[in-house]
Amino acid sequence: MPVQYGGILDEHRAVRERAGLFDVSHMGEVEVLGPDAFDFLLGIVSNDLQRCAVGQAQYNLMCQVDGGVVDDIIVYRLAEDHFFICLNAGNTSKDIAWLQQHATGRNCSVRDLSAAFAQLAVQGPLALEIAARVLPSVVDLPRRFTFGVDSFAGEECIVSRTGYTGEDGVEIYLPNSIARPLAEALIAAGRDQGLVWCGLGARDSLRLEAGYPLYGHEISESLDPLSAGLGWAVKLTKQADFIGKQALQTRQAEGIVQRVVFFKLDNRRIAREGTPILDQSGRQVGRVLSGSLSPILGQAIGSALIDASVGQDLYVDLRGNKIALVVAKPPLHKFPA
Amino acid sequence: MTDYAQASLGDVTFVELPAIDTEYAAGDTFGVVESVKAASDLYMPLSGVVIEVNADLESAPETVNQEPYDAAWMIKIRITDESGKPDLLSAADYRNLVG
Repeated sequence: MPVQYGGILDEHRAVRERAGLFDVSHMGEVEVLGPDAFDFLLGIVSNDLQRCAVGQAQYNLMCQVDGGVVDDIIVYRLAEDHFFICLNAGNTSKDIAWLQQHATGRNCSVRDLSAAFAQLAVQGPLALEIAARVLPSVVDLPRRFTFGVDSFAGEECIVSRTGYTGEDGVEIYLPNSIARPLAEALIAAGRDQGLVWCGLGARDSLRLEAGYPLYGHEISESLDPLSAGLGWAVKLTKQADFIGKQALQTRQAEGIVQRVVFFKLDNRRIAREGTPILDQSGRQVGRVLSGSLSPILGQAIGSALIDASVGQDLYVDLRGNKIALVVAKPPLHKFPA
Repeated sequence: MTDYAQASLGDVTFVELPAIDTEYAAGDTFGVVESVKAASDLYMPLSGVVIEVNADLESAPETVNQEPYDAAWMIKIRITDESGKPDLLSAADYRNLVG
């Protein structure tokens, strides 16, 4: 996936106003299948998998024993005992090893499908309409986080009403052999609606505007999901134990020390990863985790890890300029300052 | 900024230029151009004193992408040392250099 095709800002706007097509084939995919598949995954993932019915997808964290994050993943339930999981590209081999290690002795298989599967995402207000011209089953997806199986050129693909942009749309998991023809069919189907190819740059600025975490930034092996504000996907009250549950319960009880926030700057200048965040007195109270520009707001935006006790009167120093940082609740582009 | 550099940087989002009357030596950093991808220093091609800056770039940084050699001029200087002049490249020579 290139950083950009035309330009990051135009691609970003296209997704907010019309639709964009992303080739996210670098993402990893793994299949977990067998009589123990459900029980096995229940002990691995943080969200309440019991509430994920066949045909539904669910956002989940895989945590370490200490509560740090192995990866954030989307789990698709194909059948009662059959799961398909989307992994972050950079974590795929680590995740597969993690899953296989913990599946030892269980009556289920863990199969890495990453090399055989491509992934295309069509995102934006016109995305469903465009995708349905090529994959008719899209109209049968009643709401976000549902998926179905469709076919194209004689091959099956998973079509999921999910995405990483903050817009409606689909993510399509498909065998490599039909990736190019399907991508070309989508582009042709969406040309009159303004569908454009989008790269990694727009993918990052869109997800940041929407307030979605990126592994290695807002979550990591040392940054747990409670501190990251992802408590909604960590079901500490569910009966089943999962790896990291105990550590996260302790963290919850003791209170988090630092928290991830999203912010806007009253400036076009981007506060990049690692930029110190200062309080009124100039004391460092945090650091930037991700930084970009919102083409919708015309302002720099970002995420930061800050001391849990602070939240107002924060600043960044950008090459000698003290710029106010406004903590905001995402989606950042929905409430213009 | 060269056409080659603006294309590599991508969408320019911010330009910081110096104050009038600031004096620089050749090679000094006189400003910054930022894009979504990166921030990049601007270097003085010759020694000189800043006599004019293009304030339009503050509100329309995208001009750097659109017209790097024309509307997106950045500063005018009074040259204080002409000795580096023969080393400067034309746009065509630079294009040959970067391939």
